[in-house]
Amino acid sequence: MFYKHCLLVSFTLLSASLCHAQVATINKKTEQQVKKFSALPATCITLRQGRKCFATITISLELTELGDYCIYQQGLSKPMHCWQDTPAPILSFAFESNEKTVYTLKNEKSQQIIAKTAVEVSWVHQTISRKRRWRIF
Amino acid sequence: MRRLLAALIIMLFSSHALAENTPKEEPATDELQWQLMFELALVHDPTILEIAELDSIWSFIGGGLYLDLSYKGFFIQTNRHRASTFGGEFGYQLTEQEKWGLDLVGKVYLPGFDPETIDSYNETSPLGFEKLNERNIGAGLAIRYSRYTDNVLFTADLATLSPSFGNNSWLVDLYYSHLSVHQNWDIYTGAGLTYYSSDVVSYYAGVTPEESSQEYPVYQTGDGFKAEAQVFGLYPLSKSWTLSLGVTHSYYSSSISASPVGFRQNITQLKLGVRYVL
Repeated sequence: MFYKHCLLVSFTLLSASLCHAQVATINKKTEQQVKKFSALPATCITLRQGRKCFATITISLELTELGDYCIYQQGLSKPMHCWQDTPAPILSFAFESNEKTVYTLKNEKSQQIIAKTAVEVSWVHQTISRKRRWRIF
Repeated sequence: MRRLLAALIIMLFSSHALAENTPKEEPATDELQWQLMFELALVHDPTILEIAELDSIWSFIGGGLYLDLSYKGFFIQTNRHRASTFGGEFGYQLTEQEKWGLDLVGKVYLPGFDPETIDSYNETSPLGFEKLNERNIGAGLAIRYSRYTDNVLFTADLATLSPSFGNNSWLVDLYYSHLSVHQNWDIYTGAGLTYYSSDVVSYYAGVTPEESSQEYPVYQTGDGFKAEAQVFGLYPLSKSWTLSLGVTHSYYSSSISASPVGFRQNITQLKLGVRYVL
């Protein structure tokens, strides 16, 4: 009985460590593929909390390998931009959102997300009641 | 004058009638709300007195401390969007409904001036200027009706200036402001109309026999007004800094500008500044 338990525990630990090793391999591979994936400016500032923020965002990226890649805005199925076997582009676009927006870089061949970056939305004044907005702030 | 007053009274009464058909008044916000800002700005802000020139570099540098505070219906607020230099006011919120409110407000509606002091700093003052009496600041106590929607604010102040200027000194100050949001910009377009009773104008712009001289003959006049138009913009630079810029043009009626004391009829104020928000 005791032996069985030990065997089960050992097997579970072995599986866990194998899984971990697999994740580490993917991450390592991903890291090798993506040298840089960043959005600038990283924060868009609006005057008041809850308002849409507008900015021109530039996503710059450096990849070590040519391939079939797309950039997505998280939550949307349609890619923002794709390219195949060409050097990574510098992507500029009009940002318009009232919340943090995440962008992902996907290897279309392996269907894996290989990098993420985000644009935060921040503000100068916090939201207050509509009536007070005029009077106090 | 009476028509204007009647119109204001009708407006106040009609808003009371409106109140009966609207939901119960919301309780006043008891919690303490406050905000503090510092501003540093380049300004072109000529005074109403023609004799006071903008003659040093410091005349073009403005700014200051803006404190807004509200607690249990009492409030202190600074004027951010109207380029008047007399922006501070305190008051008590009498009632606040969904689309309108009534406040008791204390504020300075007109700047004071001391001719003797101005004369001592000015080499070109005409003879007799120092003989004019000091004018108190036009501090008033007002009842304010406000009407607001998402993008519009309208206020009407009916104020007495009796403590400063004597009996029968009163004014009506109407102000309309519209907010347009263009991407990250807030653009406020405003218009104001202030009616001054004849006692206000006489105290401020009149010249009494005791003050009179060859250059400053006796001047008695009737009521007067000021009209103003403005555009004011705010843009966020960071989480703590904003850019502010604006222009206001004011026009004073002839009863004020024709005074021998020497008041400007047209005044254009400009501002370009940065604000730090705490």
